Amino acid sequence: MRLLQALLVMVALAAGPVRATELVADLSQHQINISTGFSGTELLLFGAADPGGDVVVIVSGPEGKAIVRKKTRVSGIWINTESVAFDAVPAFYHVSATSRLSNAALEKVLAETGIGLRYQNMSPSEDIGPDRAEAFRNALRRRKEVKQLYSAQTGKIEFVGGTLFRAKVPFPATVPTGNYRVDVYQVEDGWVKSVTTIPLAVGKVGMEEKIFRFAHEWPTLYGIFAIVIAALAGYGAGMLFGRR
Amino acid sequence: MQIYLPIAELSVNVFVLLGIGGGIGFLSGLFGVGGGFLLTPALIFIGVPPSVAVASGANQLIATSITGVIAHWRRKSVDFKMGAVLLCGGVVGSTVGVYIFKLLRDLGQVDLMISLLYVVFLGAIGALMFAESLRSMLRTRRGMVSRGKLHSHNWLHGLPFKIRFRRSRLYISALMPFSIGMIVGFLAALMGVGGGFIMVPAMIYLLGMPTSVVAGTSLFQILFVVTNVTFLQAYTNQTVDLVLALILLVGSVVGVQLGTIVGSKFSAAQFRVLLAALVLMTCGKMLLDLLIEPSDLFSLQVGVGGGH
Repeated sequence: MRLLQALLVMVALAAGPVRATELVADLSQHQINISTGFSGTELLLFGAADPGGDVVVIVSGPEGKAIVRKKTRVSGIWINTESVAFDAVPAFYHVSATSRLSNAALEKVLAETGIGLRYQNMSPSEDIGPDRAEAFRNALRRRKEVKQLYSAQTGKIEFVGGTLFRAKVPFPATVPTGNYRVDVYQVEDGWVKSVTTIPLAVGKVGMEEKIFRFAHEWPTLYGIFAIVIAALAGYGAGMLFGRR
Repeated sequence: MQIYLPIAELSVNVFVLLGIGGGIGFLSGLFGVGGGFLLTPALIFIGVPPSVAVASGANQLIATSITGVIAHWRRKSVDFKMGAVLLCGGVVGSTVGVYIFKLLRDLGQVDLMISLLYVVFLGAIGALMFAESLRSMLRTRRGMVSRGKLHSHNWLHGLPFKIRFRRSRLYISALMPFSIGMIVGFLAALMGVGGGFIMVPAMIYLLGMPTSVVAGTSLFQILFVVTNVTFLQAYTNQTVDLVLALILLVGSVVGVQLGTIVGSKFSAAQFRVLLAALVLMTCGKMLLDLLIEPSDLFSLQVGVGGGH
């Protein structure tokens, strides 16, 4: 990592006296491998940008359908009475920004530039009016935040030595698998000046991947295998403990 | 020590899983209930998706019930004949149950249905057992011989197909255990559990079986139910997590042995009071969940339809 940063510094210096640095960024890894001992990880994002502006990083996971349900009290019992479906909900979403940007300012930048979660595709499948849509969308974000799958923080990105910046991007143990994209924005005066996208793949490897594929590609065999394994284990234990 | 579960798609502490497996195994050996009605909520609590929890739990219960049946078999406390009749009813009942479950899911509200069934059945069975067994415990303490009536003769004994169940010391119509197996199988399919917690009280109170053979016979019957569930879940939904099941299994095989040993030291009435208390506690928790305002009125369900 140090080496890469040193290289970047050299590249930046070699570029000579820069007035407006072109935005460049990369990740320490382009793949997150989930194996048996996986308990979450942290990637290092680094790059160079014009120090006059701010840097905003958005990491988003694969999109899918999600349903938000709301409970109300019906004759004393809490029952799901309303449900709203969302079509394109990112499985994972992380925003970080330079420390100069306050949380309120970040919110504003996201709104004005239209790059925040709320301004993306997260709209209900059916038209239910803006107020209800907002309430259900907030609930969706809240539930995801509880699971550490959505997060937003300013001050996560720090500039080191003028134009260079770096940030740590955390991924929890429950990180969903699939293709991710990391968008790095350079923002000045509420406008997106430039953007660069880095691909990121999150996938199972080794034993975990084999079991997953076995279960999905040969479900009949897998079912029989699971039964036999459990039966043998139970029988073995019964024999073992019975012989005292 | 964290371990990643490939089907549940999350990372959990191995020792937490071993603890859950051990606890459920202990109860299983002690009472002859599969423990599914406690295992599923426990797994959901640590973050396992409900569908994976039900399926992997069933897989783990295969091992637990085999170990339990072997332990009881040695003690000659399994009535295989009774178990077989109950099982025949169970197959019919659970097949109908799975079909009704699909219907309910299409209508929505299947979660509510499950909670309500739990509360009603756990509450009724728990209260009944608790009162009855406390009474008989008090009677024995006062030194009274609690011979009581083993069973009363009524129209049920006039039914045809009478069979002698020697282990259970009963001579009754096969239709009785068959229909009990059917009703329990039906409910078990709807509630996603082996049904031991309904079966055990039904055997004691409705059939009048001696408590000593109830646990072993119930486990024998549960074994087939959970095998069927595991296969169907693996085949249709791919929700059986082998890694999860294996870790739970290691904990539970030890727990079952301890449970069986401890169980043989209890009197029949004490045994029933304990089971009743357990059933009532679970019922109370479920009831509170329905009555107390949830901290967040909203809930989120991801990955609906389309699948992987």
